[in-house]
Amino acid sequence: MSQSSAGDSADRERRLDEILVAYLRAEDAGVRPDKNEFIARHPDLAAELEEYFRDQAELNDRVEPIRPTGQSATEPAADFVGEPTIVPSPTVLMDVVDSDSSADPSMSEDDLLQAALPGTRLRYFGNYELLAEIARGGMGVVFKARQVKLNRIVAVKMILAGQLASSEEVRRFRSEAEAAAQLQHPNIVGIHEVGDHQGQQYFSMDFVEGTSLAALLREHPLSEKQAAESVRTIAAAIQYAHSKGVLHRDLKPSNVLIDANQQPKVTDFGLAKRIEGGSELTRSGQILGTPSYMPPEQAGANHGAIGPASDVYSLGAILYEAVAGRPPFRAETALETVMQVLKAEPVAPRLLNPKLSRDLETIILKCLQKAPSSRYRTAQELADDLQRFLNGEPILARPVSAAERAWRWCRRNPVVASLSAAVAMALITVTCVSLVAYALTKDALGKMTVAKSDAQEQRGKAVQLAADKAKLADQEKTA
Amino acid sequence: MSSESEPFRPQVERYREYLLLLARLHVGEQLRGKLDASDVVQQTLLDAHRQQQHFRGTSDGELAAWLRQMLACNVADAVRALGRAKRDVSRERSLDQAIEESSSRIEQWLAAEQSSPSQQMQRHERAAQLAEALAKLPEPQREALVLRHCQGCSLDEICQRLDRSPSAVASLLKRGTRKLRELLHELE
Repeated sequence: MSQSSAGDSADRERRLDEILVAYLRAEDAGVRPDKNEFIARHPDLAAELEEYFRDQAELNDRVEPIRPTGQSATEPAADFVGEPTIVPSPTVLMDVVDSDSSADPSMSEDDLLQAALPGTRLRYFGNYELLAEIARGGMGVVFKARQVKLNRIVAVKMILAGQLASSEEVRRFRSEAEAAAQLQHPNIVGIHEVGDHQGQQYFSMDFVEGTSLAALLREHPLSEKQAAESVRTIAAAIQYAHSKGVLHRDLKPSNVLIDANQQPKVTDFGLAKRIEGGSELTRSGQILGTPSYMPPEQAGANHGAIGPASDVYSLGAILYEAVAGRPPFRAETALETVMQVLKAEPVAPRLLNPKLSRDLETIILKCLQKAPSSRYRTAQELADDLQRFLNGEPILARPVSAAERAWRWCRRNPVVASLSAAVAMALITVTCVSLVAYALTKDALGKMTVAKSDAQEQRGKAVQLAADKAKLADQEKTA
Repeated sequence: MSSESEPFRPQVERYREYLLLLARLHVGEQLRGKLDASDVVQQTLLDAHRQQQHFRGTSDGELAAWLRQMLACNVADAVRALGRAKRDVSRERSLDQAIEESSSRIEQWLAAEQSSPSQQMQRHERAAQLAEALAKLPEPQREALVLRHCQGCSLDEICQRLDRSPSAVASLLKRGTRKLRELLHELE
């Protein structure tokens, strides 16, 4: 083992010890700490933590029969001091209260609906006291909830039954959520815990008091400066996530929350996509979500090409809508929208908002390039260019030239382009042939004219000569 | 160990660590300095040898239960002896209380042992393995684990007892559980 890796592993062990101190103290405080939360918070030490918790559980299990009555290692005798607001006992996991529904391994939509109604049976979910429904979407329902142990307000998103069909999907969802849970950034809604409660997959995250960018944009477009600032902030957060190897893949205004201080916070990292599955469009004929902000490589199901530039595209689409009042592509149906995303150039935002500055338009259109390689390569580059724009400095992005546009059009419409090219070639050929023929004819005509006049001249000369000759003969006769 | 051709022969020695752990758990905290658990266990094992012919059981579980009952009686005797001795050697007021506490706890224990349901045997067998494995751990690791998991001490109490920092104790617990898993694996 090399010295550095020996140092690394010693360092890991030290960190692990610190985490365990925090864990043991939480146990001592009588709060029965959430092991998953500890694991989720330290994904790089997940294996070690899981191992410790497993060993610990085994040890407690073996000690149980010989423990003097009234003692328990997992719940030290310490009383719950300093937390008088804790209502339910932490030893009892509060559950779906009805026995018929608690037997059901995962919640049906009806259960969730019930849950949302005031005064109905589902008040507690695991360690959470559900307070109010915040949002409801294709993938599940978000509740404002109180985490009982820590007495803090969080948002809990429950995945609707049936969204994660196989255990493999559940596993992938969880690993994705765990990756997202390691993101800690002021402009990213933090995930606290990913778990399942009686088979019901859920995750808990920061509760953001405020609204979403989508709701804000429904009211009115943003000013150029507001829009550029918001998207710059979001792009910086996305860059941070990319640096941790996490792509968002579903950036859209409804996934950008605006908190009480008007700061944007990105939510739903990588999760919505995982849950909605590979097929974006239909699930038994239903249309899920909107492809308006989706890059062509994603809309075309060409998943291999999805990368940081895919999120850059979506950032550009958000910026487009923020200043132009509508997303770059929006058609009657999702399928038509997808076709536009794949084929059409977006309408120049300055046509929709003539007051928009040319530089910001250039930045937006660079993000919306069909080929990922033509966009900003990283979210950071976009953030930097937006910052330059905000500072009034020259931006790095260049507008696309007319020739480039024409060439791209041909690339996207090869049949029309090649037919047009053939017609053009035919025209050119005919023109050239005509021109040559004309020149040849004209030349010949000239020559003929010259020859004619020569001939006339010669004839004139001949007549003259003949006349002279006759005159000479007359003189000879007279002489 | 038990087969039809050969009568069950109690192997009491392998329960020494298990009995030590039990004795330690059931003697009150304050009395631990005054009452030598290993003495009581030694006494119990000697009794077991001497009274082997009275043992009617045919399994390890029953043997463990039998040993536990004898241990409980011996611990109770030792605490009573301590109560008599304190008049001569010690005037600590707290000791009175400690003995009283211990006595009542041991009475509960005795009562529980005498009515111990047979399905508990399997679980006691696993606890006995644990005790055996614990005994093979380095002293500080075993100490930390017993304090934490058997006696339910808080992290700060363990730090005080072992005179170590919280992270050092966490490290002991961590390494202890790892080692313990290996040892249990070998035993199984």
